[in-house]
Amino acid sequence: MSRFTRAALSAVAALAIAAMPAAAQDPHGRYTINHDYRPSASLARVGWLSDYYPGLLGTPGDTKVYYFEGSRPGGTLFIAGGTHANEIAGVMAAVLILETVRVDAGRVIVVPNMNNSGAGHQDVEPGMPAYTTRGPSWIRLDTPSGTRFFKYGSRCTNLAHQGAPDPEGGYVHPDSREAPLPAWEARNLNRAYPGRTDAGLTQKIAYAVMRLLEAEKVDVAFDYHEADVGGRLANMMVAHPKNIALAAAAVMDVELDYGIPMKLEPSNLAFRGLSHREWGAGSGAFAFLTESPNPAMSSDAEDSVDVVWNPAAPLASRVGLHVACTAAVIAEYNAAYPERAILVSGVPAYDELVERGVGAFLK
Amino acid sequence: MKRIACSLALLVAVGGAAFAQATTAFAGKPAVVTAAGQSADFEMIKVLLTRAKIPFEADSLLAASALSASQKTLVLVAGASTKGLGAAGISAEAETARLEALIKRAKELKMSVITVHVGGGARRGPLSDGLIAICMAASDYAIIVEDGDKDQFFTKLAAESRIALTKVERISAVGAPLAAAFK
Repeated sequence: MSRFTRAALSAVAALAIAAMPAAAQDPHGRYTINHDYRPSASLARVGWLSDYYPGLLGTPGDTKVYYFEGSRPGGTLFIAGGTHANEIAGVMAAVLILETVRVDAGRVIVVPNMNNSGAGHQDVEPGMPAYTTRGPSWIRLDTPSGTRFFKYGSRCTNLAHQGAPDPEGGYVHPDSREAPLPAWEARNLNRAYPGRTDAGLTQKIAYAVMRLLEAEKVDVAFDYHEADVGGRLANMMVAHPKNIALAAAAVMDVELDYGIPMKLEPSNLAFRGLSHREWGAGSGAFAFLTESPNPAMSSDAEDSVDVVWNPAAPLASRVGLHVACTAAVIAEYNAAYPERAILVSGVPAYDELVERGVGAFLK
Repeated sequence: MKRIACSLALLVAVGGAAFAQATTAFAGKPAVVTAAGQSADFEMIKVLLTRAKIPFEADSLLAASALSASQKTLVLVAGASTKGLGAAGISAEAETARLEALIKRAKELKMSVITVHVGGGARRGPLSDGLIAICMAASDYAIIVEDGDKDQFFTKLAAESRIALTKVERISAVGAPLAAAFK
């Protein structure tokens, strides 16, 4: 190999590495991943989750919060992706909204990486099921501006970040009467709400999210998730009982408009710690959770499973499911509460996503 | 009498025409809807009845004592949800007893009874099937999403009860035959 060839290959490798987002600390000591997100023109400002609970400042649990505002007053929609960082369609649906949304009335608040500690690792730990970390470290999508990379992580907070060992004897939510869950569930953000400040990082993140919902007077809140293909949870909308009627109408609309067969369940009020249950009970928000099917989460999936183009459940249709459900709920919400309507446009519809892929609509 | 009228449609519906519907609008208005098994499918049927402009009242835990002569049709949304039962604070045994009492009272009041099952295969299983059997045995008509009848469970129950059975492909398609059942 000539010196020129070696130099050229080194340069190419350096450029490729530079293009990959990396973990870093910002000038304020915030230790986070530099996710490559390019917000739409409706962006009003970017904040941090630690703005709602300073105890998160400088921790790997801090994460960016994107605020999009319309020119007219209205309600506030909150979108959470990456509660489980391995559920990549949830992350990418939030990113898609972040990069395409136009807000005409009201506000849209997007947190693409709700558990940013989970986004930064895929540590395989004894006792944790394979689906909690299985998948590539990054996914790559071809976009109009070139190839872009998006982080694929773990279901749980990094044990090294939690600041507390997993509880012996299993995890029990402080307000629960249920049997103990596996100990690692102490680091599952979607078992931690409404959170606490005197516990681990996961509980602190949950606490900050509750403060955000309260401070921003969120009207409608979505938490995007994924489940195993063909499993009970896949293609499901879960809604707090106070907003189950909105959910039922939306599920019907999604089926009518796009032929997506969605199941509907109300929050189990006895099972504590889940976002839809605690957001609905502890804030003024109508709380929803949507589940798309992720091939990497099936029990028979191989480690090399394709999570983007897999014909069993391509990323575009999974992202489309979350977007379609959100749009349908917002339409029903606007009809019921016109005085606090949330008017948005620009986000591609389900069938457009299926036809052209997610990358086509990103910047 | 209603059963006899509906049995004519049964010949069409159960005889292999999966998308057939009741040929006669037999059900009076207003309707009253309840959840036989406390699943969220109850909410779906409320949406469909609202969109079809069928006047109705809804109570997922409707008690027999709450039925009145002014209500003409009882719609039973069949299918059990352990989550739903837990959230409602009612045991499977108590739900079964509530359902049996409700049906008995509806018959005393000469109400029409319609069973709707929209949860497909996911809303089947021992608990659901027990409640479904109770509903189907007392119904004048049934509408189901066909995925729930892969084993011909509903088809057999409809034949035993000599009632019309309409199968549709998806939940949103339940609205048309349901609305058509009301006169």
